[in-house]
Order: sequence, then C-alpha cells, then structure tokens
Amino acid sequence: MALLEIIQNKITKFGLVPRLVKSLPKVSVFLVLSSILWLVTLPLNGQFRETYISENALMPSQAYSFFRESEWNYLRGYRDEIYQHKLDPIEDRNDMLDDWLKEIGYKTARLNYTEPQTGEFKPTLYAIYHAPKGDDTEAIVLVAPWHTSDGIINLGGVPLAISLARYFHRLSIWAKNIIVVFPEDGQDTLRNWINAYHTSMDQTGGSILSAIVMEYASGGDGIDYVEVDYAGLNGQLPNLDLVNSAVMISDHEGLKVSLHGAPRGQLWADDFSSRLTMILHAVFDYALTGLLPPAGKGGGNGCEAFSGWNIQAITLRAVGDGDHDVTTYGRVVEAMFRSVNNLLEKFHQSYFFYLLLGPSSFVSIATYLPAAVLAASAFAIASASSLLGNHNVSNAKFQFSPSFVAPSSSHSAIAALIGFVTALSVSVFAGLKLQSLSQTSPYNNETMRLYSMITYKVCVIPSFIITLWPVISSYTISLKKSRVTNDTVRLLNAFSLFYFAFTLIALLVLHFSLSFVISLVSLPLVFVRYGPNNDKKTRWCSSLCLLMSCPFMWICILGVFSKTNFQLDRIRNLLQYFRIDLLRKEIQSVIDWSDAVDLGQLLQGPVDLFYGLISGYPRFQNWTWLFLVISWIPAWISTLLVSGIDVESSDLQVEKEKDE
Amino acid sequence: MTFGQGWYDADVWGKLPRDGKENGGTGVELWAVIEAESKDDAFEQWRQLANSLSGLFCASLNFIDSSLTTSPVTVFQPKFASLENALIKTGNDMYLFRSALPREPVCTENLTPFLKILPTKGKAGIFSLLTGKKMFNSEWSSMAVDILTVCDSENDCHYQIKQSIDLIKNIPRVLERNVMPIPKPISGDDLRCDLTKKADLFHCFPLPESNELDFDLYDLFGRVIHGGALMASTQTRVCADLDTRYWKVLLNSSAPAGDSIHEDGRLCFDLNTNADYDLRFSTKDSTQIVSLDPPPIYASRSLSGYSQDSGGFRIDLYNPTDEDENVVIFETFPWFVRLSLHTLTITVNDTASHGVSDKVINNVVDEIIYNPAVDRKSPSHLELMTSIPSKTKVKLSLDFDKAMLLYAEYPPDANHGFEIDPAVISIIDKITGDTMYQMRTTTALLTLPTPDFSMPYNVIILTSTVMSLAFGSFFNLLTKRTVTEEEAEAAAANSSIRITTNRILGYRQKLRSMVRGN
Repeated sequence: MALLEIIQNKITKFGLVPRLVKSLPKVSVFLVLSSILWLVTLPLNGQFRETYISENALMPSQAYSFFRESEWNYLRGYRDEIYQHKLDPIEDRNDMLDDWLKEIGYKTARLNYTEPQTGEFKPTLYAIYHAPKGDDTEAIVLVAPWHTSDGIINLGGVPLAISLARYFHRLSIWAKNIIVVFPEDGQDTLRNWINAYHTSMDQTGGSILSAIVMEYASGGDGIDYVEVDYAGLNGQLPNLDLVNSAVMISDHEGLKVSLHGAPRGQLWADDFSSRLTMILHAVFDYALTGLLPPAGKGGGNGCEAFSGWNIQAITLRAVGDGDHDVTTYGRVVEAMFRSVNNLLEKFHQSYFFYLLLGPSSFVSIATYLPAAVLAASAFAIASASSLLGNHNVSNAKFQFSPSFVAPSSSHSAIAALIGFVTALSVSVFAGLKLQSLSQTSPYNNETMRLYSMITYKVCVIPSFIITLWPVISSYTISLKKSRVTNDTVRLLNAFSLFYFAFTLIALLVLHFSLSFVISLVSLPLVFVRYGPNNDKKTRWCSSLCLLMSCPFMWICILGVFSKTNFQLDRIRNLLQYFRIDLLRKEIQSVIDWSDAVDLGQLLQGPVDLFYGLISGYPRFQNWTWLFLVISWIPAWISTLLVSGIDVESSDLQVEKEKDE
Repeated sequence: MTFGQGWYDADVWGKLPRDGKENGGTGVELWAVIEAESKDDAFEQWRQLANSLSGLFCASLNFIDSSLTTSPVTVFQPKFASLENALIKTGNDMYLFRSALPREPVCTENLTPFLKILPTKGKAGIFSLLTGKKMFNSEWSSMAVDILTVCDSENDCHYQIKQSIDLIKNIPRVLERNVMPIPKPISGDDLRCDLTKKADLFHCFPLPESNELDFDLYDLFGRVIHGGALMASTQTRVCADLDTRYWKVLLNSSAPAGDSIHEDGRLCFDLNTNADYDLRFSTKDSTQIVSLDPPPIYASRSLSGYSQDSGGFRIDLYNPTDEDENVVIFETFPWFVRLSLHTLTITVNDTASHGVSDKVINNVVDEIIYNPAVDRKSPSHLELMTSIPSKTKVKLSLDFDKAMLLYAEYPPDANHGFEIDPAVISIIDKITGDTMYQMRTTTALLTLPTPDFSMPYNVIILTSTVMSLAFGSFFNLLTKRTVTEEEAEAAAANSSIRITTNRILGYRQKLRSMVRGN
C-alpha cells in the first residue's frame, strides 16, 4: 500500500489530476483509434486461428457419397419438369412436387400463408421423412425456396432438393427425421413456416437441429464455387462447427467456398488484405442482417429466417457455370446432412461467437471483443469528461477543480433527468408508432409514397435541419448566468452519454457488430460542446458533429450505398496493387456509373432500408430498430438539446458567484 | 412390459395390430397391478419387480423410481375377469403402477432374453426367424410380454404369459439392400424412366418402384423357420394374411409339405416336422393387399416454443370415424416440466380456440385428472377425458415452465436433451369403460437450460479474488490509523527504519569523512 500512497502523493503534488481531466477528450479519441487498430490487427498472422472441428462426432466427409452418375439423370429429369412448369401458379407447382414426394414416401403437408405486405397467397409445401427405427424427436431441414434471394426462380435448387430427398429416402443411416421445405421465398414465407412449426403446425417431425438452405438459380449442369451465408439476426450465428463442416466438405469435393460474397478472384487468396476485407464484410453483414428489403423483393440470405429458434442454419448458394457438376453441390448437402445426423448430442457449447477472416480462419469472441469494448468505452470516458466540465467551452480557460462536480441543488439533477426521459420517451413512442405503421400499411406501390414521405420529410430532412439548432438558438434564445443552468446542461450531457455507453456495452456480447458499428458512426457525439451564444465557432462545430452522428444520416448513406453496387473488394484491389492506371480505371468506372445512375433508384435505397428497420421486429423479431430507438436516438436528441442551450460562463465562475 | 422402436405411420399401415393394446411407445414401458397391504408396500414390491426385470431383460428398468412412476386412473386397468376367482387377502388392496423409459434404446440384448423365455428358446417355430440384426432393421417394431394371473378357483392360480412381436418391414427396401447395401448409382440401362416425360441419355424422370415382388422369408430375415414347435400341444401354424387372388404363396420345405389351409381368409400352413420351412411370396401387383382397417383416431404431439425457461405441448387429435369417441389422453411429465393447467386451450377444426375457463371447453373435455409433480419425488400425471365428435380435429395445447436442475442431475454423457414419455391415447368404451383402442405419440425432446459446466471454476476464482480484496481493505481499515500527510511524514521520520537508515547514512558519512581525512 505504501507504494500506492507514494504515487498518490506525487500525483497530488504535481497536479496530475486536473491535467488528466483536461485530456479526457483525447483519451476518448485514443480509445476509438485503438479500437479500430485492434480490429485491423486481427488479420495479422498470429492474431487469428485456423478453424477446426471441435465436435468429433460430426466427422465431415468421412463417408463416400454416391449421389452421382444415375442420380444426375434423375436430377435432370426433375429439373426438366420444373422448368416446364416454372411459370405455373404456386399451388400447381406445389401440387406437382407434392405428388412426387408422396411417391418417394414422404409425408407431405401445406402451410397456408397470405403475405400481409403484398396480400399474395403463398402456401408452403413441406414433406417429412420420419426416419425408420428413429425415435422421431429431432429433424434436419432442407429448404429450397422457389425463388432465390435475388428473386429468380431457383431452377437448380428445387430439383436438387427433390432428387436429394429421393436419394435420402433410400439411405438407411438416418437417426433424425428429414424435412424438405419449399417456400415461395426464403424470407417472410420461410419465416412464417418456422414460426408456425414451433407454435401451431400439426404435422411436425421433432425439434429442428439444423437447417440448410439451397439456392442455385441456374439451370446449368456445372457450378463454379459455393457461397456460404451464415449470419443470423440480432448477432446470432450458427455454431462454428456447422460452417466449418460446410467449408471442409466443399473443399473435399473440390469446391471453393466464398464467404460474404467474396468474388471468384479472392477465393484462393489468404493474405492480410483479403482477411481484412473479409473481417470488415463480416462486421457489416452481421450488423445489417435482417434489415431486409420489403417482402417479395428478394434479399436476405435465407438462413436468418431460422434465427431465434435455436436452430443452426446456413445457406449454401451455388454460383457460376464451372467445371464441377451440379451433383457435387448435392454431395456437399448430403455430407452436411450426414454430419449433423452423426451428432449424438447438441452442437458443442463453444463458438457461437466468432468472426471469420476466411473460410478456414477465425477469431473468437475474446480476441475481437476488446475492439468494441474500446469503442464503447470512449463514450463512457466522454461522459466522465462531460461530468467533469470539459464540454463547457468556457471551462477551458480555468483549471479543473472538483468543487463543482456535485450539483448545487437537486433541481438541476431532476431537470436533467426530466430532459433525458422526455427525449427517451419521445423517441420510443415515435419508434413504436412507426413500427406499428409498418404493420398496418403494407409496403406496396400505393404506400410507397407514404414511406418515402416518412423517410425523407419526417425523418431525414427534419433531422438535418434540426442539427442546425445550436446555431439557430444562438441567435434566438439567451439565458442568464446561473449555476442551475450550468449544472443541468452538464448533467444532461453526462447522463445521456453515460446511458449511451451503457447500452452499447450491454449490446456488446449479444451483438458485437452492431455495437461496434454504432459506436464508430456515432463517435462525433463525443465532440459536441456547449458554450455561450456568442461563441459561434463552437455552435457550428456542434452542428457538424451532430450531423455526422445523426442516425438518419447514416440510414440515408447506407440506403444509398445499398443501391450503388459498391464493392469493398475493388478498393482492396486498388490499394493492394496500386498503380496509376488502375486508379484511373476505377475513377473511370465511378464516372461511368454516375452517368448511368438513376437518382430515383438511389433515393429509393434509404426508404427500403428504413422500412426494413421499422418492420424488422414484427416480421423477423429483429430488434435493431428498437435498439436505435432506446439508445442512439435519445442520446442524440439529448446532445442536441444540450448543444443549443446558452451557457454563458464556466462552472467555476458560477460557483464563485454563488459563493459571493 | 413393452419394448418399442420407430415411428408408426398410421396413414399407410392402418390400425395398430390387436388394437394397439400390446404395443408400447418408443423405449420401454412397464405396468403392473400389485396386491399389497398399503401403497408403500406395493411400491416396494414394484421396485423389486422393476429391478428383477431389469436384470432379466437387460433393460434400464432399475432406474424406475417414484419420480418416474404414476398410478393411472382410467387407462391401463387390468382385466379383472381373470382375477375374478382370486382370493385377495383381507386388508389387502390392488395397486396399479406404470412407468416408461423413453430413452431406452431397444436392442438385441432385449430380444435374446425375450426369446429365452419361450419353451423352444427361439430355436423352432416362427420365432426361429428372429435375429437382432434383421428384426431391429424394421421400420417399426414392438415387443410385448404380458403376464396374467389366472385363478381357476380361490386356491388354484397360475401365471399365463403372452409374448408378441410386431414388425413392419419395407419389403422393396429390404430386397434392394440385400442386393446393394449402399444405394450406389445404377447403370444407365437399369434406369426406370417415365417415357411420357423427357427421357434420353441425360434426362430420366424416375418411375415409381415396380409393383412386381418376389421374395421369401429368408430374404427378409436371413433365416428360415427351423421346423414347428413340436413340443407344443397344438401344431405350429403359420398364416399369411394376403389377397390370394393377386399373391402366390409357396411353402418350401425339405420335408413333404402339407396342404395349405384357408382360415378366416388367411392362408395357413401347418409345420409338423422339424425340417426347415421357407415361404415364398410373389405377385405382379403389390398394391393389391387385404384392405387395412383405418385407425379410429389419429394423434400427434409437438413441442411449442423454444425458450430456455418455458415451452408448451400441442396434441392434435382427429377422429376419422362416423361416431363420436371418448378419448383419454394420458400423459406423464417429469417433475422438471412444470405444467400450467390453466393454459389449457382447445381448438376445434382450426377455428376458434377456447381457454380452460371458457364454458365451450366442457363440450370437449369431460374430466381432468391431474396429480401435480413433486420436485424430485414424483412426475406430474395428467389424464384428460375428452369426447371427440366424428370427423373433427381437436388441438389441445398446454404450456409449461422448465425447472432448473442441480448440476449433478444432468445426464453425464452425450445427450441431446430430455425425453418426455409418449402420450397414450386411448379410446374408451362409453358403457363399460374398457379400452377399445390404444396408441401412443412419439417421444418429445426437451432442452433444459444447461449450464456451462466449467463456469463454477471461473466463479470460484472470481469470488475468491473479491473476497481477498475485501478482506485486505477491511484488514487495513481495522489495523491502520488515518493521519494527515504532515503527521505521516513526521511519524515516518521517527520510524525505526528511518532512524536506522539515518544511522547507517551517518556512519557512511563518518566513514567517508574518515577516508577523506586520511
């Protein structure tokens, strides 16, 4: 203890505390920088680990698969029939499949569903193979949506699912039931089927252990590589073993695996820049999963429909027209089914939280979590900094003194609290109102105008205008010097930042990516300061910071980006192999794009995203919007309030005045 | 006692054999009526019975204890006809116990003792067909042993044992596997394609399987019947229940075969020598079979919900007959499934649903017998007496909470969850109250919140750290005095260490001055 005493004595002697307090904003910035640095260092050699199968029972690719040769003829036979009837109404297509599956020996059933958004009738056909000798308690699900996530008919996937179903029925290895599902699409319709399976359906086949969604839009006979989608809603991921099995099995069959839409050229790359690109993709994809475009418009990766029901699901999407025959893709699915079937217990406990840097390298939560912790703690430090008076510009001239930290009276604390609670309740009320609106007015051509209006005229433009409030108020509202004003503003600012930091930290473990992305984009909130009316520079700075941390601005940016066909990989390519003519080529392609772009289409992006946000919870139990409503938006509103209040003097001055 | 395995497909296979009275659910099921002075006494005997059967049948029946045992009220009632003449000691009473182990895998080791009980030890008669490998390779199988006490007079009682085995085999599949154990691709010439659809070198729309069948018992069981059970008082008679217009049955035997006998529309053969017998079946159209009796009730049970702390059961019942039926749903749940009976809702024909407080529910549910569970002592026992109108679908749903287990109560090795007994659905005769038909749903797999078992160590480390920190601070507070900095410095100047160091410094000074002086 003596050593600590000495240190403490020295600190007081040299006056380190006030200096430290003054440098808190720098600490915040430092924390955020180190958080980004942390993430960037993860792809360095030695920072990540190679993937491995931790559950030995899975034994991927241990059996030779006979889904080949004559099975290919059957597959083509089925495909030709489906091709003939691909334009038939859904009921007729389902009838056709129903007959086939019954013939094979499956128990078929339909789940009727009318999509509330479009009013279209989209019954889902599903078929159960109760494994002979099995105890009928667990099931593995194979999903082949009639339409892929791009909205194209799943001409390769559906017949493949049928011929696999036929093949599975001949195997005698099954310990778990097999359920084959043919929803019209892999989004709302599939989600509805899963919800019904767990709540009201009569024909069930036990608890679903795992699910695989198959998508292959082409009618071709060869495929190039497989894309694996695995991100679930609300930061939920399938067990890493399942993803590893998929990668291992594909590799065994000679197929390359693309994660997060990595282009063909990057499938062989395993260097720092490819891993960094992958990790950035992973963070953004996890954070944005479930912000689906409106129903019936495609989008979504299919496997997120299984989130929340304790089901390990992945989507396997065959891509391209390559050398591997299409039964190879079928064999991958078969081997996955065999692996899951081998499981004697549930999936291994570890690794539900991970970031993939490539098909065979990952970082686990303990390694990547500090990045988000650092980013979120920047807000906690900012809150402390605000409480210690750093955000009042007038305090800059004075040395820190602990005497003003405690408020002079409870009035200011109560006023600050009321201010914050008001901001919170307004935000929650409006957020829930918007959410219920998304339920009552379906998103179609008639209501498109309504949603455009809400997005732009109610949310985006007003929030842009309102960021000028610190400047406007400096001309309009002036207040007298008083300690109550000072304390109220200081406490409101500190409390709102503290609350924001708290929510971000609470979100960390559940949804790392969302917490991390929000911490980064809302960082300018930390730099918002308040001061007297005549300090125009501070006011303009605050306005700028508020604009840069405005949730609606980011919705707008993301929405526009979603329509631009932006590829992070091209930037990686440019930076990794930098040459002037490459840069010139990229600039040229941007110019070409901007010539051809349809502005209306771009502006539709934010509307779609906004609808995806507000309808996320009712449609998919995706709580991203609810999180924004209880955390980011109220913190932003409170900071806006703070920055517009006329605080004429420093906290020390008012304290002295009061003493006199 | 019954052993069961597999899922019974009532749509295709029709009614359960012998009205399902001799078929159990998945796993092992045991029930017995015990005459004893008191219930405790009876329970003690029940435990002894379960333990001795466990040894006899190589099954885990020894795990049966009070937390798995129930006393059914309306179903599983013994046929008292055989006991009419029995003399029950005065003061004694009859107690019914029933227990099920849905987790139990039924296997060869259960079959061997089963065959050993037979007088022929499974060496002759139709039982000589049975081997574990082929028998359990069926779509569905069920073994039952039923022991009755029959009293001819008050003092002349004997036991009667009835053993039965029911198997369902997918014959085309078995034959296919005999030829090709793994479904390998077949050559292009053997493909059976639908020529009405596109069919060429690459395309083949598969035709349904051929209806021509030709097989014998050896194909199905890998064995033949090793002669009749000649020690029996009646001749061994093997019967095939099939449509003789479409099916040909041939008895192959090394001994001169007797003529076939037609009995109740079945084709039977007497096996009166100890020679080997094999039956050969052939048909051009295997779809032509003796019409199956449709089951009088369809039932299935599903789990609802997914959360770690609560869930629900749904039981779907459908009465396909033209008459209203009285159906008893018998279910037992382990104690860690905490039922909430007030959440019972009933949906008729997928329209409106009614809660338990709704009067409408009385039209369906006549009576509820419910014994709530006692933690770690007894399971909850639910009997719902319902009347299902004809051609009506009824869905009953019930919610429950999941209890937390003590860490030692989790099964130690690989497990996928906790199996819940199959529900027993019985159709009860309205007048006599006898069971007319009985079926079981499948088991349900329940996941309970499972802790990360390495967590206690983390907790121990964390709490120890906190404890030691707290102890240190308190110790400091209690043993140290708070002083101002000046006092502390003054005290430090007078401390013995400082005095000593000063003294040493002084000596050094002295020494140095001495050296310099010299």
